[in-house]
This record gives sequence, C-alpha cells and structure tokens, in this order.
Amino acid sequence: MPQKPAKQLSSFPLRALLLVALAMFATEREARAYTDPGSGALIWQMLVAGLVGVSFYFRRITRWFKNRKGPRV
Amino acid sequence: MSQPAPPTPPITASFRDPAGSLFRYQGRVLRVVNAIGVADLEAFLASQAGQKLMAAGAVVPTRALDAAECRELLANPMVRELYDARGGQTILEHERIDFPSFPYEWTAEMLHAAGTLTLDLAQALLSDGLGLKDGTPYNILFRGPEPVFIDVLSFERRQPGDATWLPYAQFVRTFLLPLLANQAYGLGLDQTLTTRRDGLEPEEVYRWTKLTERLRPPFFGLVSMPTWLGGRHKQDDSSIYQKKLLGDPEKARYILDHLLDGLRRTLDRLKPAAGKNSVWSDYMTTNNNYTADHFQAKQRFVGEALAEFRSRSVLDVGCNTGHFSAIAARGGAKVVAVDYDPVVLGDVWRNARQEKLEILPLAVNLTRPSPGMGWRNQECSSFLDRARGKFDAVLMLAVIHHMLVTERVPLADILLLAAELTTNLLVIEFVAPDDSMFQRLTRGREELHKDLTAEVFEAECGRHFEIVRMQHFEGTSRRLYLLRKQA
Repeated sequence: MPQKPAKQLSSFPLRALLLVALAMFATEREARAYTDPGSGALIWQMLVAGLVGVSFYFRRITRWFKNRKGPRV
Repeated sequence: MSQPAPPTPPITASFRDPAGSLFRYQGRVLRVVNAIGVADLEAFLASQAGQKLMAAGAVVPTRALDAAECRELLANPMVRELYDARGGQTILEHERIDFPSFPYEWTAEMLHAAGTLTLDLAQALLSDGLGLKDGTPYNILFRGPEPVFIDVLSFERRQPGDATWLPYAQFVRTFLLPLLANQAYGLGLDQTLTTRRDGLEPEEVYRWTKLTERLRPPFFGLVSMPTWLGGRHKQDDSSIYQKKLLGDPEKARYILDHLLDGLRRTLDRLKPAAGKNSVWSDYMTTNNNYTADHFQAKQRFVGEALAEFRSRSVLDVGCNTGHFSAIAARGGAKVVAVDYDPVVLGDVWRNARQEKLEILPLAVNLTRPSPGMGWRNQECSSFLDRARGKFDAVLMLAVIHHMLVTERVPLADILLLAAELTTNLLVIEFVAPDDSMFQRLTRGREELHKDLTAEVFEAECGRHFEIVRMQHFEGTSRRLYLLRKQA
C-alpha cells in the first residue's frame, strides 16, 4: 500500500513540466487544404541558425581574448 | 519492298528538374541541360571538389559531349525534339550504373549511407563556393553496396552570405523521418517510401508519437517543433522562403557548417544497429535441413557452376544472409541479392561493404516485386522491368517452397519468370513436399502439393531449360539443379 503514493509523488514534477510544455505547444493543427508542410521545419531551422549565430559571436569574443593573451606569453 | 524500320520506343525523360532532363538512349545515360542549369553545372565540373568527388566515384563520372557528338545524337528526331522542348544548351553523358534501385527497395543501412553521402557532398563543396540545392535519396543510386550521387544538376553556386540550407526540410522528410520511423516503430522503407515520393511529414509522424517521445531528441527537433511551429505559421505568409543574406560570409559559413553537423549527428543517431535479429537471421546456421557436409557440397556446386560458365551478373533470389551472393561476388560477378527481410539484408549490405564485394542487396519480394512508380508509372521502373534479361545466372536456393506454398504461385510460373530473368543459367534447389521445412509452411494443406515430385519438377524445368547436372543430397529430399536456358 505505501508504495503507490510514493511512486506518484516522485513523478509529479516531471508530469507538471510535461503538462506545461504541452499546454504551450500541443494544440493540434486544424486540417486544411493548401497547408504548407515544409514551413515548420524551415522555421525551426531558422531558430536553430539564430542560436548558432549567437554562438558565433561568443566564439569570436573568446578568440579575441585568447589572441590578446597569446603574444604576451 | 523494304521492311519498315522497327518502331523505336519513345524516349521517356525526367521532367521535375527545371535545369534539365535525364534520358536513356541506346544504352547510354544522357542529360540535356538548359540555360537555367548550365552555369551551375560548369562551376561544378570546373571545381576541385567536383573533380575529386567524381574521381573517387562518390559522384557519377560525367562529361559534357563535344559538338560533333551532340550533332550525331541530335540527328535522331526524338532526341532533337526533347532537346528543343527543354531548351537544351548542352548534353552530358553519365557513367551507367548497372542496376538502378530506389529508396523503397533499400535497407535502412543503405538510406543512412545515402544520407551520409548527401551531407558529405554538401560540406565538401562549401569550400569551392558550391552548395546542394536538393536533399533527396532519389539523387543517389548504388553501385554494389556503395552509394553514388547521380544528379549533377543538384549543385549550385552559393551566395556567400546565405546561412540556410534550403533542402533541410526535404532531407528531414526523405532521410531522417523514414529512418526514425524504422528505428522507433519498426516500419520498413517499403512501408514508408513506396507511396510517398517526398518522404514522411513531421505532422504525420507526430500523430504516431507517444506524449513522452515528443519532448525528447530526436523527436523534439525533427517532429514536434516543426509540427508546432508549422501549425502556428500563417499559411499565406511566404516571407520565410525569401532568402535572408547575412553581411558576414564567415558567420554564414559557420552557421551552415553547424546545421549540417547537427543533421549528421541526428543521422548517425538513427543508424540501424548491427546485430539485430529477425526470424530469418539464423536461417543459415540452425534453421535449415543441411548437415555440414551437405552444406559444403552445396557451396561447391554453386561456386563451380558459376565459375564454369563465367557468370558475370547474378541475381540471388531469397538471398537470406547473402552467403551464396558472396560466393558469386568473390568469383568476380556483380550480384543483385533480393530478399523480403530488410533486417538480414542489412547484414548482407554491411558484409559486402566490409569485404568490398559487388553485391547490391534489395528488399524485394519476388512474388510481389516493386511496381512502376510515379507519373505514368514511368519515373521509377518496376523491379521486373529492370531485371528481365539482365542476369546471366539466377540463383533460387531453398526458396521455391516459399513461393509455392506461402504465395501459392504455380511451379510453371516460377520457372517461366526464372527463364525471363536469366539469359543463361538457373541454379535451383528442389525442395520436396516431405521436407520438414516445406511441411512447416503447408500447415495441414499437404493435399495441395501431393503431386509435386522430382520427376514433375524436372519435366517443368524441361519446358525452358536443359539440365546440365543434378546433385541429390543423401538422406534428404533436396536436389540441386544446374539448368541452362534453351536457345
């Protein structure tokens, strides 16, 4: 008997997280003709590209610091 | 009176690519290229990466025909008509790949290898300022177990500030999602790709996913996010398709490299694991009716037959683990090995690649072979159209009982098809109805096959073939026949 509530408690945070994420996104798309199936993947690619773009500047900054240190050694 | 010339079949040419058309003519593989494609093509042919890739065989060796050769071809009115209709400016000739095959006939391992080649090319060409404008497995054929990129009009000069890979979504649909469906749900490529030219949509796979899968990789990036974002995107807004160029080419290149690396990581994550088992995996070791001696004798019989008649092209029907395909290939033959179990075929492909044997494994069930697909059933020809008369030896070892019993194909039809496929030899194993493997398939319907004896079998063979020799394995009802097609 005591095992059951314990199991429920341990998975509660995970479930809550899932519920919040799903409530944000998981509204099923209504079926329409002329839907554009490629658009989602393309937007996702752009979002990822944006993040990678930020890391590009980050890399430039760290490189600049390294180069500045470099000649002194 | 002179006889009228035999009618030549009309030329069927590919039509989807706005830059040109591929066609076959007198056994040659040719491509008309028009004004849209010429500049990109020349940039590719002149590039270092392009030359290197063609020399390595990763891209099909291609040359532009000179003026005299073009004139000679264009003297044929049908070629002329095609050339004019497509606004041709030049004609290319490609090296011929012996046996064209299509993604729905491949194993998951092969689709993975084709995807790897696609990304290799996309990245190798970046240093020469070139890119890949489409990412579909239909750009690739297999030479033995090795993928070869055949669509040289897929290369384009890249704008240095462009950080997007336009075929990204197509690559996901046609490579990654079919591999994901294979790995997660056990769906074969025949099931996902036969009727879907453009692969699987994220929305379609999303409906199959469990809630817990949706938030974890690779589902999250391949399936869930594209579905959610696509659903929220206004369908009339086409601004996302407009090219956005970055001011800094170095940054664009950095982003593109990262995107392609990310796709490669996902692709490798979806690579089928070696050592998987299906019901057919142990067929060669435990699940057959041969003693070690008999099996040795069978190997000798097949090897000697192929060597004696110098077979150069072999079709192995029901190849299972590819044991006899390998014997044929080691003897110098090019082999097409078909079986309907893509899991054992995955091992055949891996072994062939490792041993560098010219074996092309295809997931084809000869009793339900791949149909002609696409527009007018002509874009991808049927398996039998590609296979008839293309082999000088056909192997049908321990397979006819499956065709006779499970598929209920009459013996006469099996032998007629074999005679259509081979130009010379048929090595066929006779499995009698009292064989335990035969009985395992009949499941109480022995009555249907009671008249099948070795004599009946030989008489049926005699309609198309002559018997060169036969070996009967003592203590079994199995017989191995070497047959030669009647002239």
